[in-house]
Amino acid sequence: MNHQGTKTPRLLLPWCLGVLVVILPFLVKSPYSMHLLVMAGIYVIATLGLYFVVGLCGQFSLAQGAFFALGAYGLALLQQKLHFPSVFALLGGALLAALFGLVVGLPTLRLRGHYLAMATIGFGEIVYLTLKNWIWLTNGPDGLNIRRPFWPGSVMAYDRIYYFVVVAVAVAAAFAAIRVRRSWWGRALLAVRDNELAASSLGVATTRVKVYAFMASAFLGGLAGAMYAQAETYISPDFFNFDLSIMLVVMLLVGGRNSVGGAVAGAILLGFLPEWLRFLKDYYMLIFGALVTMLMIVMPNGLAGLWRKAVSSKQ
Amino acid sequence: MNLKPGTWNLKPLLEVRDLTVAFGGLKALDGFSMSVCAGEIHALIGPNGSGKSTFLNAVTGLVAGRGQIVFNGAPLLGLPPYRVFRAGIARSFQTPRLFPSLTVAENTLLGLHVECARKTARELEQAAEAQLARTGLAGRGALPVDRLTAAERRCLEIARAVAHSPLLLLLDEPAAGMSAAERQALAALLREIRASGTAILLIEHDLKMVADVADCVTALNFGKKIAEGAPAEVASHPAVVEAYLGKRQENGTQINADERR
Amino acid sequence: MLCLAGVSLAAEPVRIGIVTELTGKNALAGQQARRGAQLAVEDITGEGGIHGRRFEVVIEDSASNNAGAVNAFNKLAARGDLAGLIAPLRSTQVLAALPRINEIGLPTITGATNELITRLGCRWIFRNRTNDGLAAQLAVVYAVKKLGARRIGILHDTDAFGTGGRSALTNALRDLYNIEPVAVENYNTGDRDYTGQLLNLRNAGCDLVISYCTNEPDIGLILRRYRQLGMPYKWLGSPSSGTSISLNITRRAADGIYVFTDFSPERATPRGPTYRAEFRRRFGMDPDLAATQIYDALQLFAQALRRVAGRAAGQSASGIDPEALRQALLETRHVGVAGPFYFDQYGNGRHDEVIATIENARQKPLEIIDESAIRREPLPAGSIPPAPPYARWATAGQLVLEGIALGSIYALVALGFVLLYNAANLVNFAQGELVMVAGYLLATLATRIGPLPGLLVVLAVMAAGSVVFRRCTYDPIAELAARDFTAFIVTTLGASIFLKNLARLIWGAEPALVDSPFGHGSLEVAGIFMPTHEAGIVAITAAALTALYIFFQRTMVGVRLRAVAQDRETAGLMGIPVKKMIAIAFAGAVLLGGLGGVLLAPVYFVHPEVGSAVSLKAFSASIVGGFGSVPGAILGGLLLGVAEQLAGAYISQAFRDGIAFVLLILVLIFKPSGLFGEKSGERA
Repeated sequence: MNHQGTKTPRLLLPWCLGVLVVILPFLVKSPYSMHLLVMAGIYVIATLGLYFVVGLCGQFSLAQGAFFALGAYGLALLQQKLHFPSVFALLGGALLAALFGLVVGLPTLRLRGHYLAMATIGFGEIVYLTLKNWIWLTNGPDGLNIRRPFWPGSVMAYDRIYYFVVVAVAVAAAFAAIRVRRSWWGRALLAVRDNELAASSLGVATTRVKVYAFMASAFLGGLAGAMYAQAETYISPDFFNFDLSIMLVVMLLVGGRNSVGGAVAGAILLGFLPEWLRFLKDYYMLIFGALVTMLMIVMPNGLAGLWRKAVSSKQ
Repeated sequence: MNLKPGTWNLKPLLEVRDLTVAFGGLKALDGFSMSVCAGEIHALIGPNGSGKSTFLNAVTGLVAGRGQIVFNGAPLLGLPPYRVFRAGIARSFQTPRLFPSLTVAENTLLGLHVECARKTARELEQAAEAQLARTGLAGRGALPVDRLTAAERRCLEIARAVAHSPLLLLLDEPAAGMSAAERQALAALLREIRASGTAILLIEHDLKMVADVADCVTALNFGKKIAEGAPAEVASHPAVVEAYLGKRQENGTQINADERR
Repeated sequence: MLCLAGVSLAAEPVRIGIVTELTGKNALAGQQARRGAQLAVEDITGEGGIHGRRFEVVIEDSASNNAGAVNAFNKLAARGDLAGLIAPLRSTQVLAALPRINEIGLPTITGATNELITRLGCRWIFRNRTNDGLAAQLAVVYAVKKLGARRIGILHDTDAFGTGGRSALTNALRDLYNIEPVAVENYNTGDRDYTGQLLNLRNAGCDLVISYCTNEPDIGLILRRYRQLGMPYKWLGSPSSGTSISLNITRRAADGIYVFTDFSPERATPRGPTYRAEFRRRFGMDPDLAATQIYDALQLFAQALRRVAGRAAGQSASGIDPEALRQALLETRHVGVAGPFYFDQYGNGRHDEVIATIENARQKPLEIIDESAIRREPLPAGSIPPAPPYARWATAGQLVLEGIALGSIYALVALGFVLLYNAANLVNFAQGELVMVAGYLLATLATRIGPLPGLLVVLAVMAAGSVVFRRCTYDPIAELAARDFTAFIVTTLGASIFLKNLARLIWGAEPALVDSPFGHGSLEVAGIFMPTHEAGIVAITAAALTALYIFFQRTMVGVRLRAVAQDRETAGLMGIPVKKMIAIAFAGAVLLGGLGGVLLAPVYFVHPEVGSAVSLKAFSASIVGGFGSVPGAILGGLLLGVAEQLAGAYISQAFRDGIAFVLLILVLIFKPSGLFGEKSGERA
């Protein structure tokens, strides 16, 4: 197999992207666009979380929005009510989400097929209802305001600095995901996805590896949510509804659920798409729905799958 | 039970006593007992539906059963499949169950996980490559699984199973669908595996191969043992002949030397 | 973003930014606001603009939720060329955005009435309406002195407006008359079911209920239900009870209730008649609170702007100094369409209320009360009569009946899930949207050919439509779906998004009202009121289930379908056309969803979200009953319906929504095969 022809694009691409990512915040003019960049990075982290459970584990989770919410509210409560320092509050939010990942995943991942999907729907609804109704804890529909961890003088400057924080975390998460894919754990997850029985016969403790994957996805979802809270400085239950979970899954599927690069690409694309397609106004969601329907038909492995086909067909 | 030639000085690795597996009212295994000794290739034969695959499934924890199974001194019955593997038993399946999401090398690497903590990634990759070379798949590590021929897939499954040098390897009809040359290679591989210290329990229909490699043969029918001993003895045992009577062998192998087809 | 400009005049325009609800559940009010803004811009331009400068508005959408409001303010702030802002009508949205408003530092007029808004120390916020604290006091004065109420109950929603209102009412009752409310009930905005709360209010022996409800679709449904259940107490509602939007929903059912509002369409003010006539001429409808509040706010801005437009503006890009404008507003005295305005030190601009009643589905003002009517007159102890007795079992019976009616709909939708899952191991994530589409189709057809023929036509259309549905979501991925169960989930998820937004585009943001083929009255039997439509639901469901039973047990097709469900491979080998059976299963699933939709439509009216709400619950019901089991789906649905009603009334309404999912999680943890399912929780 001749790698020469593909080596150049393979090395060039990440470097180009890296440079772009670093200079982009200095090219945008409006605070609104700057904020969009931060949000895109946050969605990348959440989608990378889904890579573990939907990509590697082959399951279907519609609870990523709920973990996002748990991270956000976890941070809000730790930072605002218990006065934790920001970094610890971020970790705390992520860990809270991971804990719930354990609670939900453990009983349901020992079952097959649809059951995790169903449980995640129920879990997501319960989280949403709790956020809306447990007013003593969450302030209900009125939401919570969150202090910024630092204040450089203007919202734009804050977003610019926070953008780099988010990018750093996203890059770390992406590297972690790639390492996992290449490790025994990643191979075990794929094996379980392909044929659970055979994997078990090869010594894979199938439920355990699946639960760890689900916890990893919850952790990243929670971390993304906690960062969202710090970036947005206001959270209310309205944002963390079922549609958010759907959006995150679609981000992964569009990008390519079996690929870390795909997860990143999908999150960025769908993070910006609503803005680029603003002119479509009300038709945007309609077209979006049609595209999602066609996703499995046209590109079941997402953009990453198309990219791979294009690259391999050149050889 | 007859003494097996050459094996009286080997200790039993796997001992099965009075194993019964029932599905509803149907008994797939009925009070079945046998043992496999360390360092031997033991064949399990019998007509279709006699309970051979069910036996493998019971040993590896995929179906539930009553009775006793002792492996390497410890009880095995009731353990989930992954614990059976970690106790030292690996297996292949009647239809090779490879993982299409992983490459050939990654499939093999999966079998090496017990070594993960002790070896570096490089060492593991080298060990996997060695396994592939052993089974005739040298250099094919980066291929996706669907590029292999049927015979190669079976070899990969075996490579994956023996990668970490288990104590006992269970094979479910590994020669099915192979040409004569491929069977020869398979037989050589099995002997090599035995030489490296792994005992083998082999379910096989190809009685020529069984005669070729097996040290000891157990025959069963309707879930019960009907004969046991050296290959030649078992092949000419009246109960075995009767069980197989009228059934065509895939490769036209003769059941006993006197009959011509 | 929308820019409305009047006739072109010289120099840089003076712009006011408006945040209102153009999309989402309150889109109707937002559209009214936009009309009011349009008229104001035209009138102000007709009066010469702001000393020769054009007067313009820039409108941003809050999407009817808090995060959207904050976002909208961010977008307006990014512009940098605005002289002032108008904040939304909803207290919860304004409270969420208040820190942003404070940061922006421009005079902001709002129509939101929660007292907190002007008490949090933001110096830029003004309110051109009577705040809740005062409104509550005035309402209480009317209730006790004019209506003679002594056992007062409160119904409120849980967002800022509702909870603020509840505190204000309770404080007013205590301070002025030294009495407590005998019952307080609440609900979340967007809930559709209030039977529990209304029954609890009756059981507490209320003679009058005062309501604080933010959104019109909610109060509309509440009042309709209030009439259907034959509740004995009087009603005094917050302003949203009497707007044209809610009267459109309640129609004659609201006749006889009282409304306290700072805006009455018939109030005689100098500008009133010309404004109303102009509005009717331009837009073909009457102006309401949302439109008029914006109109008056813009007129107030115009007045203040004219006083400061000439002065030096310092750093401001708009040419208007925010401090000067703020001061000018504080000094403004203006009689607008809704009433007289003058701003106190906190920014409160109105200080009176109109008490009206509803007659022939129109608001009829009775009298105007202002601060002068407020006097502390503690009532003597013992002036509160004891509660009249009520039958406990009648309440429980009422709840169970409601539960069975609703549960029947869950059962039908759940059966749709089960049918498809059994036939082809497919979980249809668009089932809810099929329910919604059926409801909308009925809404459209019922007005043309009547509800009953409409119902039959809708069912026929759904059956035919199932072919399209299957062709789009299943046929192209049939092989993939056999290997990978997530494939069908994704296609139906896409279909559900598509259908939801298609409905939004075709039928708009308005909730579609549907008349029931069974009428909207109720039958009373021994103190229990059964709305006729709900009796109809139960009857039709029973008929449908009987038909299904006969189909599965007695017809050839039904038997074949059951064979495919048991073992697809073997059925195929036995000559059963599996593909055809799957097509029939699709048709059945879509039909069941459609039937659920047409039965549900008259109860909760149809809106794009109704599908997800019902389908999630039906989904849980089928899992609780035993996923894959037909009796499980039916019993699960009924059980869930009843559990919801009982939980809502006896625990809290939050539990009513949540109980479906709590049961779901519990079942998945302890008995995945459900209450009536088979032993193994797995399906090969």
